[in-house]
Order: sequence, then C-alpha cells, then structure tokens
Amino acid sequence: MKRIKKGLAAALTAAAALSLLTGCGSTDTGSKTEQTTEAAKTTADTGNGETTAAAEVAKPEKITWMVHSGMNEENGTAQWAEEFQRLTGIKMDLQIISNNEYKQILELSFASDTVPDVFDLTGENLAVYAKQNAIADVTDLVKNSEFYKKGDKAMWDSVTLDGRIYGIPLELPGGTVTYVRKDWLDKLGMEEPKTYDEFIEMLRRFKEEIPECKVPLTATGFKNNVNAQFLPEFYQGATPEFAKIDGVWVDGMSQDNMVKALTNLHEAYAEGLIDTELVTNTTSNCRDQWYSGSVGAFNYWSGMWGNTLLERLNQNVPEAEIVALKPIEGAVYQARTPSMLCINARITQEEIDSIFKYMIEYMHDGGEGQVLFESGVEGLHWEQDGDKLKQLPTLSNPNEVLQKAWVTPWLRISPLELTDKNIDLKPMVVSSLAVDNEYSVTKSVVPVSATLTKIQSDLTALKEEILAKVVMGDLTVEEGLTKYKTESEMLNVQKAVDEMNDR
Amino acid sequence: MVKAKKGTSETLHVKSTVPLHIRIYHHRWFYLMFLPVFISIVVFAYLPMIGIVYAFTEYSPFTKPIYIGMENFKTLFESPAFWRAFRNTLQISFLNLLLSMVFSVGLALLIDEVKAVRFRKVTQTVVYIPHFISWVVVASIFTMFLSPKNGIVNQVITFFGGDPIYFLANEKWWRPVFYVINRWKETGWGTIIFIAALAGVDQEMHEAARIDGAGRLQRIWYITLPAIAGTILVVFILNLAKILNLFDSVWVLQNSMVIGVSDVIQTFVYRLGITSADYGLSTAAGLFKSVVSVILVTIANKASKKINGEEVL
Repeated sequence: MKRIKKGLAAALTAAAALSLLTGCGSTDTGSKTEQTTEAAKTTADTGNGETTAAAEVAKPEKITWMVHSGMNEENGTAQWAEEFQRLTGIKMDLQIISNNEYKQILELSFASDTVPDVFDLTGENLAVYAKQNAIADVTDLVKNSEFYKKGDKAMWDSVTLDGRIYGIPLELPGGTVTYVRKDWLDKLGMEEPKTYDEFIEMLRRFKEEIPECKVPLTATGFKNNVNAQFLPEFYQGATPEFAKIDGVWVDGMSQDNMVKALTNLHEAYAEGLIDTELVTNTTSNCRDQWYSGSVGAFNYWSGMWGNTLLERLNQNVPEAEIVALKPIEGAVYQARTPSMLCINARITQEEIDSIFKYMIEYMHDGGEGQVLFESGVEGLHWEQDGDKLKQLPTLSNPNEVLQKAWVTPWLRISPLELTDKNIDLKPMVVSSLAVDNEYSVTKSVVPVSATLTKIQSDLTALKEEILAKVVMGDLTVEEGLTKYKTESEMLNVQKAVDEMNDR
Repeated sequence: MVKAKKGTSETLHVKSTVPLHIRIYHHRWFYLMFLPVFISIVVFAYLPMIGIVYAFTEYSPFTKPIYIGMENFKTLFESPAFWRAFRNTLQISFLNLLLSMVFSVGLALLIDEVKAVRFRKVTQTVVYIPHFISWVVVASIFTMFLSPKNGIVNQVITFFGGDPIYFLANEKWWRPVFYVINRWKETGWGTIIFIAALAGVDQEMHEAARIDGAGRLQRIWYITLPAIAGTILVVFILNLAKILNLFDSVWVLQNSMVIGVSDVIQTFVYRLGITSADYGLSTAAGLFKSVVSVILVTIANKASKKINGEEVL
C-alpha cells in the first residue's frame, strides 16, 4: 500500500511538473519563409543605383502574417488561408492578434526573435521601426510595381520617410466627416452651415428648438492624436499634434492658431453646444447617443460607418435623415495615415523579394488576388450576382454581410481590373466617401526623434490635461498655454522638434 | 537527536544536527510533491527577475540592451510626473488600505452577529459578487450612475435643487468616488478571512461577558476585536506589500481632467512602457516601486514585533 502511495505521488508530481512546463515549449512560429530549392536571382543592378525585380523570384513555401484587423477567425480565416494556398501554392500562416494587444505582441516578437514575415504598422510607429532597421526598405520594389504606377501619388508621398518607402498601405487612408441631422436642418428651415458662425448657430438652434436634441454635438475624450480630427470645426486647422507645416515639423500646441481653437472649444462647451461628458466619452458612448436620436452632429469615419450611423439611427427614429457635411470654412477634415504592411528586415533580401512578389503584389494585382484580399473566398464570403460581386452574410452573424476580408474594397490603393467584381454601395457610403476623398488631408508619417520617444508619454499626458482643463474652464486659454509652454520646455520639446527636422 | 538552543528572546530556536541531505531523504516524498510548486515559483517568479537588469540599460525590442548604469533612475527622479505619481500612489493606496480594513472588519462583525444561518450565507454570497465583476464593467456601471447628463446620482441631486456634478472629471470628487467604488467592489471579498477568524473566537468568553452584563458593542470591543487583532495585523501587512500595485481600478476610471490626482506609479509605468516603448525606464520605475514595497513591509513587520512581540513574516 505504501509503495502504491509513493508511486501515485511520483506520478502526480511528474504530471503536474510537466503540465507547468508545457507552456514553455517552443512553437513553430514560422518566422522564416522557406525558399524553394531553386536558386533565385532576385534583383539586378540597373546601373543607376536602383534595383529591379527580375523574373526568377523564388516562390516561398510559407508566409507568416501577423494581423489584427479585418476578418476574424469565426468568419473563416482558416478557409481564407486554404484558398490562398490553393490559388498560389503558398502556405499562409495567419497569426491573428487582438487589436489592443497587437503593438505589445509585435514588439515582443522582435525581442524574442520570432518576428513574422509580414505585419502592419501605423504612421506613428513606422519611423521607429525604420530607424532601427527592423523593417525592409521596399522603395525599389514598390516603385517597380504595377500598383504603384496606378496608385495615388499623394498617398505614397504621405507614407514616404526621407525619400524611402518602408510600408505598403493596406488601403487608402480613412478620414472622418461631420454627420448632421438633415431632418432637423429641414425642420428649422436651415441650409447646411458653411462658416463657423453658421455652424454654431446650427448647434444653438438644435439645442433650443429641437425638443429631442439632448446633445447638439458629441465627441470623444481628449486624446491629442484624435482631438482635432473629431472636432475640426472648432480647431479651424489647428492641431495639438506635431504637424508638418510648409515642410517643417512643428509642435501644434505651440502654434498661434491654438489660441483660437481652444477659445472656440471652451465657449461652445460652456454654452452647452458640445457634449457635457466630452472628457469621459468613448466612441461607443458617442455612437450609442447618436443611434438614440438625441444628437445633432457627430464627426466620425466616412464610408461604411456613414451608412451604419444612418441605419442604426433609423431603427429608433425612422424618419431621421443625415448628411455628410462639407467642411466649413477653415475646418480641415483629417485622414489618418494608413496602416502599412511591412516586411521583416531580418530575413534575406531574396525572401523579402519573394514575399513582396507573391503576397504584396498579388494583393493589389487588380484581379484574382485583389478580390481574395478584399472580399474573401468565393462561395463562402461572396458570390457572383450578374456583373456584380455580392457580399454574403458572415459565418458568425447571418444578419451582417462581410464588408471586407483584409482590404476595404472601396478603399483599394490600386484599381480593380475585373469589371464584374464591383460592389453596389449604399448612398450614404458613397456620399460620405465623396466628401472625405475631396476634402480630407492625410497626416504624414511622423519622423523619429530619440528625445520624443523619451518624453512621449509625459508630453501626451500634459497636452491632454491642458486641453481638457481649458475646454472645461478649469484653466483660461492663456493659463493653459502658459502652463504648456513652461512644462513642455522642461521636457525639452524643442529638442524633439529639432530632431524631427533633422537639425 | 535535536538540540534546543535558547535564543536571546524567549523564543526557542531549534537547530537540527542531522545533515541536510539525510533530512531531505527522510522527507523525500514531501519534497517530491513540493517540486511542481518549486518549479513554478522558480520559472514564473524568480527567473523573470533577471529582467531587473534592463533597469540599468537602454533597451528597445530591436537592439541588444546597452548598459547605461543609473541613467534611467536619474531620468526618473528628475521627472515631476514620476514624483506626482509616487505621491498619488502613497496617498490613494494608504487611505484605500485603511478604508478597506475598517469596512471589511466592520462588515465581517455585522455578518458574524447575524444569527439566522441561511440569511447569513445569502448575505455573504451577495457581498462577494462585486469582486468577480471586472474593473472595466464596474467603471462602465459607475460612469453611467455618475453621469452629469442622466446618471441616477445627479438626477437625485437635481431633484433636490442642486446642480449636476461631473464626479469623474472633477479633481475634488475623483478620489472620494474612487474610494466608494473600491469599497463597493472589494469590501465583501475582504471579509472572508475575518469571518473565518471570528469563527474561532472563544464563545465562553462571550458567555462570561454576557453574564457580567456586557452589551453587544462592549463584547465586540473588548472580546472580538482583540481576539482577531493578530489576523487584522497579518492581513494589513500582506496588503501593505501590494498597495503600490494600483492599476486596473485607476486606469479604467482615469481621464485627462483628473490626471493630477489620479496618476499612480503603475499607470505611469504603463504609459512609459506602452506609449514610449521605453522598457529600460519603465523597468527602473517598476524596480523602484518594488523596493519601496519591501521597505514598507519590513517597517510594518518590525512594527508588528514592537506591538505584538512577534514578527508576522
């Protein structure tokens, strides 16, 4: 009996110890693309310093792609990867990460040398990665590609860093526009506002003359990188962020136009024209208020969101109509720097070339590959409907259609050559996109600065605190900007600006 | 085979003369069963401590760490935001700890006085529930309750003729609200150990006191509280070690208006690590926080010895 007990104790102990260590086992992250055995001559020197992709680029056996936006697993990412493999002969290893953990996990992959072949970066961190030689310089590959020749030059300029390209925009930059309750404007006999005074007058009349209006204009809290974007009418072109003006980077908070911007915001808030809970609002709070029919104006993303804002509002207020306002005089609609696909610089140049050719170029090929990346798998995510592509309900929710696989079809960076794969868009999507495309300005990729990296968190907290306190009246505009000047000098913000301008 | 040796105090220190390897062999099955715990402690608690060296380096995920000595600490100590966070941490944590002890002991005493067993069990279950709600959900619930537009609290205030208060965006109100929310969530959970300790209080002493004419409050004051004083002290010291680990509750309730009174070391470190990816500096801040925690616990342990005549740790 004693021996049995001992044996049992030993077995249980061994099992417990092994279970503890199972999580420590190595996994095949597949960070390297395995080349086919054929030796590949991938580049050729043209003699003018540029290289061109040659025809003999080897096809990779596998590509690892870390993704955090687009299709989720419940909607068929495994089937998508199978379809990619069927069409290309390349195994696609999708590493799907939740959006809020993506930045940390990507950094961790660098620290642990398990970097995926392909991943995306925002305009805010692209320069940091580029400066550290963590991402491949794909300038020559891009400039020799078909999609570059067919794409928008301004977009490429916005993602160019010191003349080099390190990332390929997944899609065109998405911007925000101000949506206004058109039925309220009609009720009041008002035209769409064109100046700041008319805009304020509109909000004032919403507040005073529309009984169901509880919040004339709603917006999210004071995050310095989106504050000017979601309140463009009040900022009038100013921004608390670092901005490139006439080719020179400046600290937006220190510019003269911030005085007027903060005054506008404070006065409108004090008058009750801006949501009282501006400081604690989240985007979902704002959307919920809008859907309930109690909000008159709301700056939000163009495109599909325009239609969602209308449809969800109509569920509560069937007669409601909305319009995407053209920017009023002086206001600047902003588009965020697009997410850019980058290739791991730790792999060989041959591997970089092959991933570029067989994934990136395929993604924007104007044909089969582009449809796969935009709309997913035929029969599962979409079907042919006459000369149109009809999006099917998602696998996880039959009441919703899959808007995109990885690339939003109406934000593609290069045209689709296939004439029978276009999608019918709802009028609100088209009208909001039209305003966005015509008026929005894309932010530039922020250059790297060692000082800014050090002070970024303190500086951001300082800016957000001052914006909030001035708007809510705890500080006057003058007090707020003086406090900012004093404390930002202590943080050495000028040195950061100088470094951004490469002085 | 064991020899008792008298120490300087009245406590006896027993030192075995049996060699260690023989003792280990003698208790080998206990050691074997302890092995998984030991491995997990080494792997998940001690090995990660190697990361402390990053506090003395300039470290980004892309390059090898560069040794920079005490530079990160110098940067940290020169930062007004760090000292503000440190001060806020101590102020918020100490008051929160004090309130937690008072409310948890108070609620445990109340529950202990309930004679109906079924009602007591239901009460215990109900007061434990908030502990299991995530801080994100708790923050959403209280943000709605405290909304200046249509929150129930402000509706009551306006009903009685007052002006709405934006509690979560007001520097004067944020901390009191924070304490209230913390007590709502954690008081019930905090009673568990005290209720267990109260179950061990000698009922004969209560009986004797009752015969001597002591009232309920007098019995609580003179019998119950002294009986569980040791437990209260242990819980206090154990909680003291954790008081600087203030993050979730602050992070979800914090906003730009109240950053001056709400920014604590953990939120400061998080911003450094995540926003700036400055792992060297954030490790230095974390290490500083750990050192302060150790100092606090050591002081409390020594204080315990002075008060009770014995150390808790």
